[in-house]
Amino acid sequence: MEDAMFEKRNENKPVEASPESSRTAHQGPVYSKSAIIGPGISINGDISGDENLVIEGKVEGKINLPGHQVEIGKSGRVHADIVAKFIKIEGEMHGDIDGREKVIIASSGHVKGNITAPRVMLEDGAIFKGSIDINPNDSAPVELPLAAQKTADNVKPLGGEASKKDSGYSAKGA
Amino acid sequence: MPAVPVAAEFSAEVSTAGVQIQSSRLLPALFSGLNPRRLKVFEAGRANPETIRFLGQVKSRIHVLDLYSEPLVRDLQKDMSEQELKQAFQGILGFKVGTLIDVCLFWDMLNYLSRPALRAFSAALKPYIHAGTRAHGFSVLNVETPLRNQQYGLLDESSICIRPGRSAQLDYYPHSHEELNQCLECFEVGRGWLLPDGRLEILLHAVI
Repeated sequence: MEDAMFEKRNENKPVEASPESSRTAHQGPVYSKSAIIGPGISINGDISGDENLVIEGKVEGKINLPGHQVEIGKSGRVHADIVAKFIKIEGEMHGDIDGREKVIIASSGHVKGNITAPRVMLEDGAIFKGSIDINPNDSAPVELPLAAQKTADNVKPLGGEASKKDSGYSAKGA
Repeated sequence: MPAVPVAAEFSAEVSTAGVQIQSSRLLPALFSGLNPRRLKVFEAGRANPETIRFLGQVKSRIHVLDLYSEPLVRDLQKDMSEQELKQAFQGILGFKVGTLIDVCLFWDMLNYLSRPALRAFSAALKPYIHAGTRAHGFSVLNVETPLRNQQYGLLDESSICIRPGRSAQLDYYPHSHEELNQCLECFEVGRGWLLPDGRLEILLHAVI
């Protein structure tokens, strides 16, 4: 049933498409073979399969494509948990995201949920609420690089060593 | 009143994208010595590309709550009791039981909470704070100091990036250092650094 709703596309062949699908083909990730849920399509249920997916319509349920790429286009509205290798969100997304390699929230993206991925990228203007679990690869440093620690050591405490109860500092006019 | 160090060499650069970059004397101390298996960060502000990029260098969990956009903060706090505010903040924070935050990025959020709202926020946050939790924020030395409508992010270990606010400025409740200490049950203001525009960059540590 799901396959019937998808428009099969092969990037090796010329695509005669609306401006919307043309945008996806040229500005999104390079897909060798992608299924497209068009702007006029709504799906309520689980999606799994063996190819990349572009969502320009509405999806509610679960999307499980751990070896593939999922792109939610600008007109896409998704209420689902997603597992995929690479996920890019340009539209609206509500749910948990498990990106096996990378998650990108584009400047037009609006996401509410929890993200887990080795790499997460937000573009300026993206709206996100939730938690982001970042698991960089094993060679990643265990501490943040802090080149300027000596600078902080020069900064004096406002109230000296005074405790919360007897802080000597007060702000004039406050 | 003890002398407050003034950032004489405050640097502000503006990139072509309109992002202002401000050097920070306190950020290094915020992260210095932190070595958890997974760094847990509470970002009170809006999701910021630079912050995610910087913290994404290590295993981390970043809770982005964008309190600035919450109706509770924007409109409702005036009409609610402190108990109601606490319950509302508990709902907004929504951390799982057992979550312990290492670093809180308050930015200038504390200045947009009334005293009851600040106490309620602190009470709601307290279960998720541990003895080593640190926080960064901005207050003002003088309550007459206006605050600009801005969004903040971590560019690197000693730089903050600033963008113009994208939504209407919130009602402003400037708090003195003493008032912050009184209202924030689980934090104490430690170091401070006065910026030329009258903002006071502050580091807070947990008092648990």
